[in-house]
Amino acid sequence: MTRSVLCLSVLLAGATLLLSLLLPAQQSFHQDSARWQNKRDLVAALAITDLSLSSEARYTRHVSQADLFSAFQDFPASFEHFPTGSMIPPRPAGYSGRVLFESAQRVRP
Amino acid sequence: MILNLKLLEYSLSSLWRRKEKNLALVSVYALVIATLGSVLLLTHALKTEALMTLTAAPEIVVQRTLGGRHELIPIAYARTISEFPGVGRVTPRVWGYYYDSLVKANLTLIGIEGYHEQLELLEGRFPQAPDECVIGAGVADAFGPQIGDFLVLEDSSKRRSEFRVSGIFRSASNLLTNDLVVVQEAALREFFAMPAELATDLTVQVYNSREVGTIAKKISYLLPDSRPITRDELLHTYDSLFNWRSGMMLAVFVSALMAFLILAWDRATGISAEERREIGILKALGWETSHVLGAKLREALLLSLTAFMAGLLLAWWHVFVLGAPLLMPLLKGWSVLFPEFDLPPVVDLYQLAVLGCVTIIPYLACTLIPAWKAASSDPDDVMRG
Amino acid sequence: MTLAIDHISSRPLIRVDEVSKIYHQGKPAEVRALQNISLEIFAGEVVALSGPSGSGKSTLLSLIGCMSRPTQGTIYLQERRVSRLPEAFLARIRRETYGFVFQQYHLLRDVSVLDNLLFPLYPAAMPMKTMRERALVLLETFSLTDKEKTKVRRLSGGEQQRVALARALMADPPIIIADEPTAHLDAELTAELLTMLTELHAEGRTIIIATHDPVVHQSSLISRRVALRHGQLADAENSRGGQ
Repeated sequence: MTRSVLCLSVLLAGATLLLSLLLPAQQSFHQDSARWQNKRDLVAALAITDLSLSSEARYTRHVSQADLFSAFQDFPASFEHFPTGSMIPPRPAGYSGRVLFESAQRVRP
Repeated sequence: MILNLKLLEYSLSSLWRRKEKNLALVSVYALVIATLGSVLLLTHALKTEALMTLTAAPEIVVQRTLGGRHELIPIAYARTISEFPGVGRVTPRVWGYYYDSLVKANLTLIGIEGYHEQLELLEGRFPQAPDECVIGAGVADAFGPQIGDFLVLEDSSKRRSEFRVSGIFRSASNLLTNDLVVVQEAALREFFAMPAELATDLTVQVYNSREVGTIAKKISYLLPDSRPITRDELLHTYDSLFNWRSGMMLAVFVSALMAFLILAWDRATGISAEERREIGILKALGWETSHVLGAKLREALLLSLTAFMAGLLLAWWHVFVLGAPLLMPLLKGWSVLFPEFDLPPVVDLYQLAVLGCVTIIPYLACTLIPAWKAASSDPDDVMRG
Repeated sequence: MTLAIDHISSRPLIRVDEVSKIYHQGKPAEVRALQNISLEIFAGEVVALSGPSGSGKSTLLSLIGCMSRPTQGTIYLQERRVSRLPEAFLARIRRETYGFVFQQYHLLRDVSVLDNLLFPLYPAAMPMKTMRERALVLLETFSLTDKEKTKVRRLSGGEQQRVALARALMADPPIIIADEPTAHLDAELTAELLTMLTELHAEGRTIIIATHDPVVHQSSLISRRVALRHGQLADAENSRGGQ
């Protein structure tokens, strides 16, 4: 029996360690308001709109400011920016442009 | 209770008997969990960072498009917009990019105007003269200047501009300021040679957040060549950007998971002749099918729980202690290797629970189904040799 | 022991009634292993099943030992129809009523002698400590005490035979079923095994042995001999038995 008791306690210890990492993380980050407030002050001061993750292309550096329709934003022969380009698509929402055809047979005055 | 412990005892001795094989399996399993877990932890941390900080971003950013491309926006538009009811300050922003071909770094140059209060995350002070600048820790790291040093940029007419570094953003703010160079607006205009009546874009302050959508619509109606981007859209962008269902990384690692499951299936269906014989003998000695399955279930659970916990701990260590060195290159791209980010150690327990389900349950199935097949046949095969 | 073995009972302990066993029925590989066998075994008997290989000895033993079910016919254990009981009951009967000694011993080769002895008792509601004590007693009986921690693969044939017999006795079963127990033993070890079986019989156990070893067959231990040919009883007279 000692073996199974040992094994169960090792599993239990692992689970405790894991939970002691995960649960406080779950709770404390909302309480750590100073940390977030400092960053918000910074965002407000510089009017920052995007995370500075990848600076290789406009649509990956300023994800929310880039557009979908300019094909070659960086230079005319730009490659698809692998791998970030495949992970960060141009901003998916917020466009209102649309194609409108007007009939040529409309009666003109 | 006794039966449970005894079957556990049997499972342990059975695992121990094939320790090399099981150790290898646990390692591979834990590695798969660690990779998937790292992706989930990292993207969730980034998403949290974005959603928690960018709530302070401007309510509306108005860009101008011309011929389907971004174009500088006339400052006169600001006057039109500020006359809308409910609109507070409309501020023209001057910002742009600067590419350094030597380090191959793309810097983001931002111009600021007026007096700014001292920030906790800024070491030093904001530029107070046209020849001063504040840089992100990533820039400092890549080019090596300290506070007091000079940052030398060449402008479009090959004229050199020198900026004294008056401050460096603390690395805790790297996710926001990594590649920034902040100078006074007038200096930046001069550097970019931007006409005085134009700006890069406009930020619009809206008093009542419920009116943001209406005002954005009004702006695009009255100024048809403008494109307003609201803060909600911006947050939505980040919400879906790192959404764990999207993303190439997850797709790649899901295939890693599939490969592992195929391995597990192979191992399990190729349940060795030795194991099959063992099951037959136990059955002949009076074990019921449920006993055999109970023992095998304990084996599989012990193995997969150990691997799951080890994998998650490994992922935690990788992402929050080491700063995800194996995944960051994928996010940062080829541009420049910037220093580690200060990732908030936040987790989404729901995601981890899902991760547990999609890895543990298929493994259990892969192991139990063949064991069940072997255990439910008559033990009479054993007798007949 | 779940079965109280009554020596003077006139009713058979085991009754095999018109039993046939067909493997792979309806397929090209169909094998008629047993055809219409009827046999009665009484408590305290030592029955020897004989016959050439392929005559159905092992199949009959596995049917009696509740390891498989007959295709036709019925098997009674103490007048209980066991051949139609659910799987869990059969497992329980195997565990508590029968001790098996297989032709190939069927020990787990990478496991220690002691652990091999413990296997039959895992499903029983008995603490590990008691199981271990019982195993140690049996190891002493079979002079295997010094081999307790040795892996079975390191044992000689005679030692493996003794481990197999000790394992069969772990649950203290009233009936011992042995399939060609002497197949891998020399004359000396065969004699030793017969002595051990004689002792078990003296303790009141019923023993069923399948063998074509003449030494076993002619031993004074055997109280009845049953011959099988091509899945049928060669000598119908001996099928009734009784003292």
